[in-house]
Amino acid sequence: MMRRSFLALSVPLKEGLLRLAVLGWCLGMFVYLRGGSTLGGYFFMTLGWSHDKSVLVEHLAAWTLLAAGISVILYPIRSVLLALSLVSIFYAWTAMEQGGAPFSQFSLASSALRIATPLFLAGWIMLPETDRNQVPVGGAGRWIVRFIVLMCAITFFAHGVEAFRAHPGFIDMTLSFFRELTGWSMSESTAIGFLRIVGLVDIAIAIVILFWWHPGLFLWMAFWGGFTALLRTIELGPGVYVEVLLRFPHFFVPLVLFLWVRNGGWRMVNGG
Amino acid sequence: MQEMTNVMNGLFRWICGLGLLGIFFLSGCGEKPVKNESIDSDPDPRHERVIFTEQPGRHAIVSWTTMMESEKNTVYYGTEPGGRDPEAYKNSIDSVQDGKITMEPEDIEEGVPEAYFHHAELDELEPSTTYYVLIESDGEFIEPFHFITAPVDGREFKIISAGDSRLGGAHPRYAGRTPHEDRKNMNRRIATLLEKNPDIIAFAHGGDWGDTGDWRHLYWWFEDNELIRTENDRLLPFVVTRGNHDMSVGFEENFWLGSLSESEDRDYYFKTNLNGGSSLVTLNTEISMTGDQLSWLKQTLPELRSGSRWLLVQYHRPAWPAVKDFDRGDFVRIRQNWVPLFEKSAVDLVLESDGHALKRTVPIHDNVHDPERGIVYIGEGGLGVPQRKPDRERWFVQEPGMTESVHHVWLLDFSEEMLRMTAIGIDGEVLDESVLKPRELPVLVE
Repeated sequence: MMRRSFLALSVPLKEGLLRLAVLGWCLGMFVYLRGGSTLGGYFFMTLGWSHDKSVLVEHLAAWTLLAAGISVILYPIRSVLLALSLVSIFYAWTAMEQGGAPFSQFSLASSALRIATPLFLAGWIMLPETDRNQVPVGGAGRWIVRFIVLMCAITFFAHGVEAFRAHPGFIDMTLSFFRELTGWSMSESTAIGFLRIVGLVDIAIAIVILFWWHPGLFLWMAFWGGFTALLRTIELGPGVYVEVLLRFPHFFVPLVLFLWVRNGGWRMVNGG
Repeated sequence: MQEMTNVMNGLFRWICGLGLLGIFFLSGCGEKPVKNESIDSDPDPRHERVIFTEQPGRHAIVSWTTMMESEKNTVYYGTEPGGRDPEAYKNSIDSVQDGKITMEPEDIEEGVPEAYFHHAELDELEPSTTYYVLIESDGEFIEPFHFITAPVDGREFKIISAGDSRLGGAHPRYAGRTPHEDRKNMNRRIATLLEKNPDIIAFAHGGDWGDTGDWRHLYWWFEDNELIRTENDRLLPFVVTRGNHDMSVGFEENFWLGSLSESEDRDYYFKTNLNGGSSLVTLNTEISMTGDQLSWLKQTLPELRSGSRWLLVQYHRPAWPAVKDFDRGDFVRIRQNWVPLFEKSAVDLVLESDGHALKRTVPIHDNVHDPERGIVYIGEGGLGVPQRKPDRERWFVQEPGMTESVHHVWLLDFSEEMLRMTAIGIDGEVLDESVLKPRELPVLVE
């Protein structure tokens, strides 16, 4: 009885989590764009727009994204979700094109989940109730699962490579985490060694998840996505909350996949 | 409900379509790519420059470019001018670092020629001395030049400080495609300043030299840099800061710092003894800020403070941004980790770049305006990069601080009694002028 009521609850729960993921990203982008972002940098530095015009368009984009995020939480519409995904692609591309940040060449890959989440939600709302309940074993629904798992894998893989290659921001987060929470003043070389292991684990999970949809792996991805997002605030304080909002998809989408796969009995639905 | 969805879908498609049309239209208003530069096909060596690192009174790095691979790369130098006759120079030294400059696919697309970097280390120099230099690569010479080593006896001196000499424009930005008169004019302005102020000993560049450290950008940067040579062939040595746009391997190839005593040469953080009694600490905001660099800073600043009349710090990303988001992670990281150390050691002045504007903050201590104990932060970058509009509402650039959207270079004039800071615009106009008094150190240093 309990399992049946959980299954009944899990469909709106999963959709709610997906809506929340999109809203979080939209809110994060709203704050980010209003503070000045690579989007404005692209207009100003590359297209040669005036600073005023670049800021104006950036602010318009910010408010539009906020409105879109609110509309998604209330009532997701496919065209809005598609537009959000396109905006996310464009934003990641401008970050790559502008450069000036560590590993900005990986921007599209590391933003894969932020790009894919609105598309996933758009696909999700088209699925029949049974497919939303359990991972579909065939048809279009199966392709939707394959797509979002692939996007999770790409995101994990890109972050894994960045960790393995000692992203300076990751070094500082690692040092801060151990110092603040354990009191251990780790050396930079130890932090780099630790990040190499973390990177290898991320890469391994990214590869394994493509072939083996174990709920435990999705649960780990959800935990790790949420934890690493929150690490930013542990290191730099609540003022950088926007970094957490932008990473809502890194937490909520693997969580939805966990619930989805778990519901279906993962042995039944396993494999790409 | 279905009807509402259809209406919303239709409405949104119209909005998206119009938005895309709008962006397409507005994009057309942007600067068009114009190939207004031609590549100099002369195979002679070129791009001569001098780098100061830790002991500019005793040591300098002389660097240059050849357009062909060369076997014999030698620097002839001495305290007497020798023209193009190598025999006329008292000393000579071969380069210690040579190699082919990395070419990215875009470099080849843009048609910049293949080239080779060369670096030689000049040691055991005499302080406050004019050194005449002739560079030879396989029998070809660069026009002789001279530079002046820094003093070590505490005498008065000046330096120039500014950052962000990259430019905007169509992709790939500033690879000789877009007009870059602002950068050229700033370089001409610096040359004029050097003519008028022969006691300027160095140019502390705040980073973001080119749009990237790739050759298509640095090639043109070096070409423009030749404008800083004065009429009597003096070069102004650089103290190098690495910016967020300087992260590719080409930067390391072309801005080699030799062997630093307390850090890895690729880390780009070090201390410079400016005149025997004043120090400049260069930090790197593009590597870990809280690891080895922080440990080094914790040890270095108090040591320098106890022996320095003037103690300055420079780095690229700002702790107190006049333009960009105050709560950006890297800015917060600087404020949390470095700024308390600056305050503890009563640093006199901090030089920042990155924002593309001119700023001078109020004296800041413990996150508030503190005229007694506060540190002034100047800069934000204006060596030709398009200038953004700063946020004048931020408390730290309110009167008596200032901020403006204008190209600039800072002339810093050091004496026993004061440090005079003058921001000079592209046409030579004085944009800002203020003075710092030496600190009462026993009160300030814990």
